Amino acid sequence: MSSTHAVTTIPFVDGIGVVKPLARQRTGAGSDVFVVACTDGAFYIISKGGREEKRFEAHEGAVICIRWNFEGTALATGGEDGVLKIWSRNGMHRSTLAQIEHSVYTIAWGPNSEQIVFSNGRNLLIKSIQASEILIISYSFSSTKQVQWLGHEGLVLKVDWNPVNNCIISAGEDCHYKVWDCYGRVLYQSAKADSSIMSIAWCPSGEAFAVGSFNSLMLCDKTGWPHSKETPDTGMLLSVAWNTDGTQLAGAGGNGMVIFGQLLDRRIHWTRFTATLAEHNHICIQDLLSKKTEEMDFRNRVIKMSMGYQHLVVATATQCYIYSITNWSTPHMIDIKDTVVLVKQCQCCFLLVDCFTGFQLFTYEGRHLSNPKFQGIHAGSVNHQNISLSSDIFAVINHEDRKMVHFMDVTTGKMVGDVMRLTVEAAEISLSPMGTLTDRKLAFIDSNHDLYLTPILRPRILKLAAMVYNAMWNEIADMLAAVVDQRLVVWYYPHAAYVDKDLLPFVKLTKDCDVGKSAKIQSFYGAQCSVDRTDGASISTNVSPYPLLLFEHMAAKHWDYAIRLCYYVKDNLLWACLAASAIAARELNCAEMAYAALDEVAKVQFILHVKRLPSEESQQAELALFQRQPEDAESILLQAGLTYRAIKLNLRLFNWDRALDLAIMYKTHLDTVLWKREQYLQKTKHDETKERFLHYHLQVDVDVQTIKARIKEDKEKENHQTGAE
Amino acid sequence: MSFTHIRKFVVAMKSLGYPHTISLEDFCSPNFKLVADCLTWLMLRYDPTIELKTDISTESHRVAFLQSATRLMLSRARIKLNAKRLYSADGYAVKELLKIASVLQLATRCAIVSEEDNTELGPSMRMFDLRATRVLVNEITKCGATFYDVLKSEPELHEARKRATMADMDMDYIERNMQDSINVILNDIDVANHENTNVENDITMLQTKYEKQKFELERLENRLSTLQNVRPAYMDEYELLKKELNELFLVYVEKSRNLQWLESQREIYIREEQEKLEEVNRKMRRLQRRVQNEELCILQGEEVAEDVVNMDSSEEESEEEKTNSWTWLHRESSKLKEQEAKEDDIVDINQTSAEELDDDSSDDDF
Repeated sequence: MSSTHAVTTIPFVDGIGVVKPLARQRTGAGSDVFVVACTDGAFYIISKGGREEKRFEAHEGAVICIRWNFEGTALATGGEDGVLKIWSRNGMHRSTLAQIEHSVYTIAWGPNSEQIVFSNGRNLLIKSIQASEILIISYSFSSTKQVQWLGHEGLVLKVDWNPVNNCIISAGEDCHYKVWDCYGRVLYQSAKADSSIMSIAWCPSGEAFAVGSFNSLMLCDKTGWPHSKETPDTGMLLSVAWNTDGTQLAGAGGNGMVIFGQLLDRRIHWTRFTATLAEHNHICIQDLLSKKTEEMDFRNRVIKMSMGYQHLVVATATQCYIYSITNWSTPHMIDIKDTVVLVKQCQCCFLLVDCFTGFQLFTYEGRHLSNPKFQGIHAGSVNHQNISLSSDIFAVINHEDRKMVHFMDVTTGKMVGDVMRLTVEAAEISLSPMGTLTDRKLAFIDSNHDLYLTPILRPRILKLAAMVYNAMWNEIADMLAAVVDQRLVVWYYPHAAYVDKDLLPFVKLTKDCDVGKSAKIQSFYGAQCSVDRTDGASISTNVSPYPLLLFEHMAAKHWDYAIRLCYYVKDNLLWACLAASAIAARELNCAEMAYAALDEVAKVQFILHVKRLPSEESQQAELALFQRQPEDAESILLQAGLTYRAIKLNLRLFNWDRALDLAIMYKTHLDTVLWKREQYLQKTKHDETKERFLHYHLQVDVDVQTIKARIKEDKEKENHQTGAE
Repeated sequence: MSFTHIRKFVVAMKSLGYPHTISLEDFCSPNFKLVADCLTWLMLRYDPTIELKTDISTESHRVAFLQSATRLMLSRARIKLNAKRLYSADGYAVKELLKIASVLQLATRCAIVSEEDNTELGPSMRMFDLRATRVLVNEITKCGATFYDVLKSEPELHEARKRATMADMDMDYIERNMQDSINVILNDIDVANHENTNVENDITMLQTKYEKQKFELERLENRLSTLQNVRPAYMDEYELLKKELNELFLVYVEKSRNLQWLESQREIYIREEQEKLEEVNRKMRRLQRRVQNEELCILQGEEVAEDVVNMDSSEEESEEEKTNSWTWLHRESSKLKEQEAKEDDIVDINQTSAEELDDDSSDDDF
């Protein structure tokens, strides 16, 4: 069911009094109804045609505020008598949520429609609608029954809660507006306005909000700073509301005027192109290099536009246009059934999200790829943080249980692998753009602001950093940038974590630029990175271009060029990148040189040892061991039939039990295991305590000469095998 | 009902420019001070000449203040205020205050509208625009001057006019002439019209042609851009072959360089060989000469002994040389053999050591 929510206020006088907030709700069945709250303490359900259907006595004194939840299944009303009531869709009284001293001036539903925030004089209060257990936010406040905090110095007049970014905005008589997170921590406090602020409303996408005051209407960024200010002659703006696609807004003035606004001058950048929404259906594209401008007119209102990966995607109310940056004249077109909520691009395809069809994947030629569907995902609460797209995989955080991450194939829309279950709720996910499915990594930030990395097919979660507010992969290389503890950090080759963890500090670069608290990385293309600070300033910074060159050479398998580049630059960072990728690609000579340049003598020795090994499989196994995956190494050896080496491997790792198991399973080298164990115990001056070893000691004779002979035999056999191949 | 009234009052006061902010909850509990302040402010706003005692320190003062205020409002503005309700200073008082506030609000709104009307009357006042007047004055003088000039030529023209009117006219002749000239002109008009239509046709034709060409050009440009984007099918193969050719060329260059070098080596070798041969020939010739000399000596039979002795010594020398060279050669070859043997040994040693190392390393615990 597509349920939308628009609130407008029209002050007019009739026999009953002034009709105030007017909440309208559209249902999928086509029966449009809206509710009207009146000053005599009743509210009405009124059909689309204006016919009064039902009347309900709700409060003593006036009903001040009324609001549908996001699904359109319940109503909340707040009255002058300080009572907050919940009603079903048909007007059945469900519960009385709160009874406070002050009038309830404003209410707002939380995401998932499970909580309500409302004003209590100067305070703001969050309550869960489950009548029995009144809270809410599971862990930090579990002892308290509700969350209450001082919102403003004066009365709180308006509050709104956005389901997409989970932030609360409030406005009060103290002439400030404030942005809060869902735990009541202040994120932004505005400067003092000229008069008290009576209306505030989130744009449905959560990217911006509107603030209405006496003769002024402000458009603010989600972080709080104002984009623009209009001064319409409306008196006090009593209410503002957005339309469902977040491109237009309406405001009701105290002198009876209704004003309408349209968002303009939205601007997006990609490399040398800038697209500006000049009018509601007109986009102007500037090429900074050739100084050409392209003008585009559309039949309908432009709702979303997104530029990246050589393409511009423009979603209007009825159609989606796909432009290639080389050809602005002939776009591909797709019909759209409902308002587009989100456009997300990747190398070879893009994602359209709307409430009617859910997720849709298209190629840049406009061909429909798939239509992934599954439980626990609400298209309405999708944003750029909880969804990620790469050329073969599409990942999304489950909206009901944020500890689960789903992966889907791009072409078929089917699930890939298992659902990834995390221990802490995920806040942001991002897939690496390059490589194949086996190389694909997922970077995610959890609600404790820790940044983790994991491969998709065989999850192995590694923590990269703490205090991370935002992370982004490079568009053309597997480089990861993140805002860590108010600074910008770039990992040039995060895959190094899975090859050799010691290289990770080498491939990490901390940029010395002041990005401030909770900054957001806007774009990261090539060596260019731009970061938006919370105060609205945008910082553009460069990272080293050499790794990009190096990756190009490595992608083309020109290892000699790569080595030459490293010699030329003489930077440990490059050598570390080279070492990690050479090990990953089994280029041992290259890896040897790189480790030598990094002064890692032990690793060079090991690589030399690996090079001396006679068979391919044993080399692979040793490299797996180098990458700290002994299980892989063992299975490689066992598959190749190199039983002795597998046993030897476990002996080297002091994994005695496993070695004994293998010896028993393959019925060889039992004596070798016993002999080595004995040697070990002698060296460490311990007695045998493992019963199995004691047991077999009695059964098996240990003769050093025969053992050595057998080892020699095994080695010769292996040499012979590789020679025969 | 009080909420809407309070809100309306707050909004009205704000728009009237009341200097303090009134909160929505200010009238929840009786707040006489604020009511009195609002009332005085509103009354002064209504009529600045009103004189009021604003002392509200005691109960009797408050009553007196309200009584005078209600009386004044009734007499001056014909607004009936309920003093009891005002005295309670709650939501009902706000309703009373709203009576004055709404009148004032209506008045300001009307005033704004009438101000706008006033601005419409403006242009009539701006008739005496200085610049326009100046221009007009200039024009008038210019007109006067031309008029004077024309009047000056009037006497001569008067003569001519008189002559023309006096002359006898043959009406038929004039009529015929007129008719002719009319016909000529009509013909001219026809021709001109015809040409006009032709030109118009041409224009339309050319325009359609131009449109067509333009369309064609656009289409071709599009096609060109698409073609430029298209990569020819043979391109892959071409690039592959080119790469191959480059590689082959590199091989060829190397080989030809090697060949050149080898050839030069060969030439050097041949030259050396030649020189050696010549040397041997020279020696042979010398020997022959000496033998001939000896023979001559023997034949002559004189001084034999000395010469023979000389000969022998020289021969011995040469033989010694030869043997020396032979022994040297032998020594060299034996040395070489020894070296080879040694190297073999070394290789053996290396192999064995490598094997040992391998064994060692695999036995080591990494």
